Amino acid sequence: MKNFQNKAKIINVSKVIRAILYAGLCLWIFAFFASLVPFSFCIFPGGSQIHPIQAYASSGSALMCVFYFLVNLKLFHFFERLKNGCLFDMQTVGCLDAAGKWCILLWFYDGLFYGIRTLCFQVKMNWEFGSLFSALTLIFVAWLSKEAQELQEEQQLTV
Amino acid sequence: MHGFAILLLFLGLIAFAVFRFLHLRPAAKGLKPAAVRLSRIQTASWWIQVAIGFSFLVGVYALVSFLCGWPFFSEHQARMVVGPGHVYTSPAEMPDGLLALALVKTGLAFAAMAVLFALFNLYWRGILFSARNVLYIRFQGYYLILSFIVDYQIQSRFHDMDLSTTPVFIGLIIIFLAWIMDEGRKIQEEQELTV
Repeated sequence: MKNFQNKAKIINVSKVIRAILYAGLCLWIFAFFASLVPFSFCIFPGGSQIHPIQAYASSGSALMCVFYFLVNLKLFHFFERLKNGCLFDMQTVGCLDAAGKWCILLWFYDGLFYGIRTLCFQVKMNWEFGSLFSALTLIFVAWLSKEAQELQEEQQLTV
Repeated sequence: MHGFAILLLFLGLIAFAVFRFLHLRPAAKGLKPAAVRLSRIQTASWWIQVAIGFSFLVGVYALVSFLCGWPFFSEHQARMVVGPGHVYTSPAEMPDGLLALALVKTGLAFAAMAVLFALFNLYWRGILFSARNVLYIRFQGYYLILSFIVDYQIQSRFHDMDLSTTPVFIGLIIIFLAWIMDEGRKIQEEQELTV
């Protein structure tokens, strides 16, 4: 009975988190196009000139939105699997692992983006390690889930 | 060396460390995939234990040096940062009750570090799914929520309150993670009973 309750709780919470992540996906799509808005001003005749730092920041932010979108998408798929009651299977674990790896890429890109901005435009460097920490945590949890997946598969074979 | 070159070098080193962390390792050749995975978890857990142990020692030294007025590494006197713009160099400077709250927050952080150390010690010993693992993970979630409440009490004493609710959300996610790990524990227990 308790086992069933625990799984039901996981499914219910997953539904909520999945809805939040879905909103996040929409937000990143919106943010991607919003960050390209400055370029639209210089397309039209008589439009204002875009400064190099504006062009760099806008294009860099657009690419960053793509990375955020991919991390969000993988987490969305992970919670979708949990919502369907698949706690430890290959796809669920794969989504979590992929989210972690995309998060590492996001952190690396973040560092490069701010580093080049500091080098070329003398803007103060602000680089955080939050996404690296989150990425490593996601990957570690994915490793643990992989072990649980193996256990579940062995159990299914035994039964 | 130029600052950007140092940054690139540092990025390269981190990338290499992460690559090694993810794709361990020539010595693992010849082992079964399950054994390789377990060895990878154990290696990572050992390094995390080292990092936690080091942070714990530095934290204890920082607290003791603040209370006793000792220097802290290159700084002439240890400081305690309670909030943005609220930095104190000695306990006597702190308003009434603030020191007690700051000590409660620090004590909670030390307890969380000790529990995290114990959790990774279990992983290092190859115990991945047990009731204690679940308890320790859940503790981290409750710690973040409790820490937020103490922080709220501290910040409410200032006029310029600067508080983020992110730790509460992370705490709730960690408790959710503990539920998932509890499911893993049940699978392992059932497996042991079947064998």
